[in-house]
Amino acid sequence: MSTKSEQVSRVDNLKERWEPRIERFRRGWDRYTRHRMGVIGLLILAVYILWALFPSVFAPHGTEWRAFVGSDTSAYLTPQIRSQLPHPPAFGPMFGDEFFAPLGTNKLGYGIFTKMVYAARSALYIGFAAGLLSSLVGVPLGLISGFYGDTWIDELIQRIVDVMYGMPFIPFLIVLVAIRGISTTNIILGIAITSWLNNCILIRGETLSLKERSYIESAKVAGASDTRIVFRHIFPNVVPLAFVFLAQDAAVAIIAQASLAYLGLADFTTNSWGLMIENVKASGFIFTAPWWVIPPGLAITSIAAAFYFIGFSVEDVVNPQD
Amino acid sequence: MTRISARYLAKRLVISYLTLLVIMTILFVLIRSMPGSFINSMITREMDADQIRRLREVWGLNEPLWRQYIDFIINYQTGEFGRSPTQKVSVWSLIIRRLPRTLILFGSSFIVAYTVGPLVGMYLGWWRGSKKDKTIFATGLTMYSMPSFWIAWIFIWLFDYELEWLKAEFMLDQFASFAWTPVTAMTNVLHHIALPLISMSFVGWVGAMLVMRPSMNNVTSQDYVFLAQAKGLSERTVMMKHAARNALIPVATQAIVGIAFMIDGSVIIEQVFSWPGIGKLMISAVMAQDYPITQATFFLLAVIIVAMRLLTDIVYTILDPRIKFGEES
Amino acid sequence: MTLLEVNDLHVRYDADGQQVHAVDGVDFSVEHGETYGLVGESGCGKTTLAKSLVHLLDSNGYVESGEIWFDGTLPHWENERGDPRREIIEDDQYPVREDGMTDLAQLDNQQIRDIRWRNVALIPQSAMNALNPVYKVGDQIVEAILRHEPETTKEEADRRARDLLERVGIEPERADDYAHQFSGGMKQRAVIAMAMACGPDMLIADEPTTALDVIIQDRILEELEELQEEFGVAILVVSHDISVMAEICDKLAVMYGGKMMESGPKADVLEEAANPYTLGLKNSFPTVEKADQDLVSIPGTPPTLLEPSDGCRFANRCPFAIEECHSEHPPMYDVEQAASGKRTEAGTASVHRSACYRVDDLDAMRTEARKEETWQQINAKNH
Repeated sequence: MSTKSEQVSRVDNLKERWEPRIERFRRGWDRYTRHRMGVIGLLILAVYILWALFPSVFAPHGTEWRAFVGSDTSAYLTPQIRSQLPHPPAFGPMFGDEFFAPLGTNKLGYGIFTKMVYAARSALYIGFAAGLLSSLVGVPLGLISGFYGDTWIDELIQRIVDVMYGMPFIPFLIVLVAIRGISTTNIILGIAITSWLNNCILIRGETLSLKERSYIESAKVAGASDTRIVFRHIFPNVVPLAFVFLAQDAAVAIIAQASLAYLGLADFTTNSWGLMIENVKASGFIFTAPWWVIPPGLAITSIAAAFYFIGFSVEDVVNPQD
Repeated sequence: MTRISARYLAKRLVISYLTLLVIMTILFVLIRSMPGSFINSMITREMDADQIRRLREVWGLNEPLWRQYIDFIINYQTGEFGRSPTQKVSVWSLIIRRLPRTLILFGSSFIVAYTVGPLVGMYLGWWRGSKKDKTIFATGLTMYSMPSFWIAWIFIWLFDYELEWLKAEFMLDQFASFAWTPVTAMTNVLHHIALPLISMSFVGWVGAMLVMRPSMNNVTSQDYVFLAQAKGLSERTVMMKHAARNALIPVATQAIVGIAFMIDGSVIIEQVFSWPGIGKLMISAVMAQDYPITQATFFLLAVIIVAMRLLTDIVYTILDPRIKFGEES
Repeated sequence: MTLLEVNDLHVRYDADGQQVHAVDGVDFSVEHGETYGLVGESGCGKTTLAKSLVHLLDSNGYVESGEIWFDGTLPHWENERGDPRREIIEDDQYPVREDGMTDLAQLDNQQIRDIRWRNVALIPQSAMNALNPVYKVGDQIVEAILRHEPETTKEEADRRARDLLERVGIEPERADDYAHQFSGGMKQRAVIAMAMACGPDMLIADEPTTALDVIIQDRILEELEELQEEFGVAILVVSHDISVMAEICDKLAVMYGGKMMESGPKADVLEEAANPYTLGLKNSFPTVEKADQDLVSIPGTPPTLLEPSDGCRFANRCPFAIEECHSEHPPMYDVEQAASGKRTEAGTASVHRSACYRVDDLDAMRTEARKEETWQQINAKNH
């Protein structure tokens, strides 16, 4: 049974523990927002997250909508209609167009902008999932490897990484997906398998240097167990850097998946920006429908760039160079 | 290079060999893990069980798995890659012509990327924090974010379709006619390689820049750079001869990963431009379920990466005199 | 003859929009072949002062005002005239005055780079790290020679480099080695050898003995003294270590808060200190003779140099401060003349100077300063 004063002191204790962290976070945020690049990255990411969460709000039409025939899925496209597809950007009756498709349509009459908004979800999913998975494997291994530096554990992990570096990434993904089946899960797994290496090496480096700090020594002298040292003292200091790598991995994953889509190895049931580019190429309209080919590429570029911008801005906050 | 001992080279060669061994084992397991066997594509409806068995015999699929593995490894030591089920010729014959084409494209892109990258990184690191630095850096990151196949098509559209300055097809036709001189051959090659080369280096240079920039920043605050200034050397000499030369060292380490990324790039670009190299061959083989070719092309790509990595190790030792006989500094 | 004459030098730094007055109006001069020491605590401006002479400040530092008159033979003079120091020069390239001295503060980037090392060689703190790790040590010396004497052949320069190394006690074959193959003391000596490569008029040694153990420190100081004897090079030594100064300097200047508090011949400044700050400093250094004496440190901390007060920079830590001290920082007074009871501002003929309003009351101050209680008072005053 805890008395009132005990409860109060526990709350105080908690506040004491967290206040400096909150203060540090606030200072970090102030520093972060000084980077215009980082702020832009966050804004872009915010837009895509909104698109992914509420596509129907941002897309001008639903997923079944097609030019000239609306949302009727059983409607037949006459040859006359078909000859006008893919249609360049049309801005609705106010501007003398029959329908509203700000980025035009593809060969089947679907609105490009609509497709883009609905595909945002897939890009974010792949980015975060692959990035997180890669961190989940790479960061602990990096911590262990660094903490037990120069022992057999470290040597072993280092050797594994050394060998895996020779593995070609995309070719491996291609073979993996071709053999095990084209599914987003497989792609995410494949990307994580190859990108954890970088995480591991860099976290290891950071752990090695953190290990030499005096507060670790004092913790050891005070009798703290290894696990406690790693989790209580080293891990929190490694998190910001791990976050940076997470962002970079997400960018790489998104581009990798898009590349696979282009090669014809993407999940056809879910639309993705990479798939849209593959469609343009396959349909033969790649030179004549810039409104179809440019936006998906811009979307991939911008979301990957957003992740990179955020990642590098966080890195500058964590490791200031002045 | 007396600093590189034979022992060190031997050690790296052994590691390279083991690396390839592990990679090929992973590949072997992966392929054999496929539901069904890899000659599925050759089995037609009319075949009876007997024919199928004989087919499997021919392709060595009736042997126990470990036996297949041993054969696989042994064969690959000697470059015996087997025959292609879809094209009915030896895999080696298919590969041997394509390898130089891949090497030309990959090699030249690598050279361009790892010249431009460190150069830009040097200037950005020297000017760190200035407006120039921030804008060029953000631009570089944006370029790094572009999918290479997309930007390649935009270049093709711009330079081949619209402006017709450069060509997006492979140059084989010209050479076949035998009516060429060294000069026209050179221009022809340049004309055709320009677009794929630009597409690959467009993204590739950023990797090196991302390492050179912070490295340069680090180096500039060192005492020896200050002393170089105190000696009255020109700004340019200090930046290049004293700072950049030191800042290059970590770039060699990054190159190990950068090479793999550029191999990825070359596979995709070969596909976009229909450049008949190893990468394109691998993709067609995968699509056609032709696993002997798939295995062999994958292997070759891994060999390129591992060989380049060995080269990088040597370059690293040249760059940093503190490293003796390959020991880590 | 005067080699360097610094007049009313002000050096500032821009730090986050604020200005730091690192050097706040300093005058001093150094003769040819003389060893002059700048001593003071960290942050007093001595390193900034030294670096500013050859424009080697960080990018956010600049000389705000002042003159740095220098009497060396500047680069293109050697080709066209003989020894110009004796003549009146009219030179469009350099800002020259009647006696032939040039104002270094007015030189542009290219000019100052020509003068660096050749006339004034600044050896940075922890010179051990000043050698570039990827080039041979000998080559770095050759580089300096060829930069300032481009007509020299490579073989000639190489020979000279090896001679220089030998002269500082390093075997000439070591010129083909890299920095990491040298010991700490060897590296220091190699840098000194490199500094002498172009026969400069003045060496600036920034904390030449930090990060070295005592035995090597001794060797380095010996080295510097020998060089001075042999080549007649003037040495400006910057250090926080009074014992180093005591050993090699001819003249000494004590700096505090961006200002020069006292300057004069070493013996005068150390044995007959004429400034409360100097008196306080002396107390905080252990001497071998009085090893069992408790050290008396000066309570308080040095000023931040951001928005310096108008009064004497040391006033709030000074046990002898009077009202005058808080209104305006004192000018440099002539100590010798003050002994006869009058305060006269120091002129060019003055040898021993001190910036203190109570310079006519030295005996009393010196006696009081030796007592611990005098300094404890400050704590009381400020609490």
